Amino acid sequence: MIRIEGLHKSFGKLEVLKGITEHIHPSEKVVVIGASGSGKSTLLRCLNLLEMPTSGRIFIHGEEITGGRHDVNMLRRKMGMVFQLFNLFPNYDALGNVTLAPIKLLNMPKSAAEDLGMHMLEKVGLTDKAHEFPSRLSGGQKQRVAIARALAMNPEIMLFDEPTSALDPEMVGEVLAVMAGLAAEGMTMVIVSHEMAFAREVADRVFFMDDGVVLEQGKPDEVFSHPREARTQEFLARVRK
Amino acid sequence: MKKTIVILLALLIPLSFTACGSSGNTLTMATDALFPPYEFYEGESIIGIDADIARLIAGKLGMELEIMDMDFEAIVGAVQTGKADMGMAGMAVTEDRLQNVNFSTSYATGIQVVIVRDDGPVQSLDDLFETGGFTVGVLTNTTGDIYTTWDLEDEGLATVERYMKSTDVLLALIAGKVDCMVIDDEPAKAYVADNPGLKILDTVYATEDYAICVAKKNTGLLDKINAALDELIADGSVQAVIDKYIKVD
Amino acid sequence: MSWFEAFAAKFHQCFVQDGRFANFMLSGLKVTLQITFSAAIISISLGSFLAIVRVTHDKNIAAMYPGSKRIALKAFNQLCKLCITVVRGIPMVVQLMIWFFVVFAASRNALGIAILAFGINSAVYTAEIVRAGIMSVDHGQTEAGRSLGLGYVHTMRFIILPQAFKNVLPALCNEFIVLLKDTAVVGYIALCDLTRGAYLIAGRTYEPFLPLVAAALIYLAMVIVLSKLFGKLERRLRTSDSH
Repeated sequence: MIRIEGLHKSFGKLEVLKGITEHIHPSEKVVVIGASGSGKSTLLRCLNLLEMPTSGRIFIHGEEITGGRHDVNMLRRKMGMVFQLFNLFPNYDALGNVTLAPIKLLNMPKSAAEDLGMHMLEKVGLTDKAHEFPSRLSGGQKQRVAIARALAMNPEIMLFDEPTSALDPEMVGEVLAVMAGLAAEGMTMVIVSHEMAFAREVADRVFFMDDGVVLEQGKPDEVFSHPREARTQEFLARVRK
Repeated sequence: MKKTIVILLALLIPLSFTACGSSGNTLTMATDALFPPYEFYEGESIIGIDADIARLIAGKLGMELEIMDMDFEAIVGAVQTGKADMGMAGMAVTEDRLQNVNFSTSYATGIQVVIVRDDGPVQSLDDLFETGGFTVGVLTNTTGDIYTTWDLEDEGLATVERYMKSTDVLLALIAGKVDCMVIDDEPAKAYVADNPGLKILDTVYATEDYAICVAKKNTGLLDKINAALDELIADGSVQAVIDKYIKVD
Repeated sequence: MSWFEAFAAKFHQCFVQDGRFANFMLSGLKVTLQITFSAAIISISLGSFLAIVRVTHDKNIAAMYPGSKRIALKAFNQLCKLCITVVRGIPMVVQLMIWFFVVFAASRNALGIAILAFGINSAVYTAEIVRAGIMSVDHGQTEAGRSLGLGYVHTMRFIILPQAFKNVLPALCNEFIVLLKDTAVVGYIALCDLTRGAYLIAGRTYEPFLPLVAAALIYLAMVIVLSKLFGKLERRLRTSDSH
């Protein structure tokens, strides 16, 4: 479904991705772990071209999205993205956040979009907060609205960029539960996360990134219980402390 | 710390609002020195009919003349607040003005004339008053402005456009923004001489009396000025000054 | 004559006699308001346009593929920068005179010229204000919009600009107050605005203080009303969302 070939990304002189070649299959859940600065967020952001790869190619359904000829906006409709800091639109209420893209992009009538929006909010358990503005929501609620917002465009792939890192510990669970539900429905998901327990439970594959490359990958059990690389062992030891 | 305070106070000295103007033996005249031949600069000093007559008056009163050059709009305020003792700037006497300032005996007669373009739509005063519908350029608050406002604008005969500088009225006339301009005849002669394609209409628009304006409460000074002016008119000094600047052809 | 009677007489002469208040000050006020409101509309639309060009350039040029679009955006950005530099570098009165006596030398529409001159002058300041407003909106907002598939224009219009305008309302209010008060120089191109109206009364009566104080009070009242309107707008936007 997603094919990555020789992906490089530099910011000025700093090379963040140093050649990544991977293939992610339909309905697969990939959790990307690694120390900060290892390039995991950049990898994720390259997938929907929020960052332009310096070199290398990315294919979705066999169609190349790099190279400048592909319609970026059409690509992004098919890929939902959830950010670490939620990035809800403060000038719209929860429902407005969810319905904005369907109304503007799919020319959906307002009432139909609101039906859809309510359905999405129901999925994340927030129908009662539909008319609250983001400033009145807790972190966990904000992140769930953000997930509903991404789902409203009916994406084929969901990208999660450290979705629980900015949350108070007691709110992490509600967000992970929503994500687990999504995984159970068969959504293709790429998740950058530090939640090892969640990764173990949900992931089909775990990527361990280090210094701009995927140093080690495999089923969660293999990577977490029997890491082959010294760097992986070191990292896992550090996060488990 | 003390030093800082001293320095700060020193910086504030220019802000102390001590009254200036009439002090001791100085006669202060407020004018707008952009109005030849009544007041204009020659090198560093202001000369002209008004300035020269003012010097004669100061001489008669045994005082030193000091000229304050300012925007025309500011002259009356300067006189009323005592920043200047008198205003002298080709100021014409009108009923309205007499209610708020005193005027001396008139020392000169001003003439308001109409300048038009040779090929312009206005070729006589009759055009202005009979045909109507033209745009007239004037200098703000001159008698040309006041008379055309009464005669033309209030009667619905013309649009009056009031400029702040006489050279701007001239520019507007040349550019065709106005159809004619009403202005004092002395600058008018200079403008027409310098700009081919312009001419002064034969019929004079209005005449006016120029006088010195003094604050209402300052009647003592007014009496002194009038006494001096009467002597200067009687012995022909005033006429001599006028003849010096206005050559009769 | 008592002090009060003297004042009443002056007041009558300055404002009642010959209908002076209506003829000079009220008609002047109308000109002031006409210029201010029309120029404000030009200011906000042209200013936003300039700001968007500048921001679009600064945010996107690095990520753009080489081509005619990129060249056009670069050229356009330089042009906008040039406009802002030139207009900001010339005093308002000088600009006004140049529009009136040089650019539109043959036109008699002084009011139209004044509106254009003040609109353009104010627009370059509004442009910088709006640009600052857009820059102040967290980049994550753009990313969130774009990640949903919204195009650059949609993202700007529905997500970034509403937040930017909310952030810069106080600065915009300031700019419009300056605009309103700047119009006091239109006398230079023979328009009779509120200030000139006061001067005309002063020149005719040789009573400068009453008309000037009256003009000052009217300006003050207008500025207070303008600030109140902006304050109201600000509060309304803030009650709906804040973060």
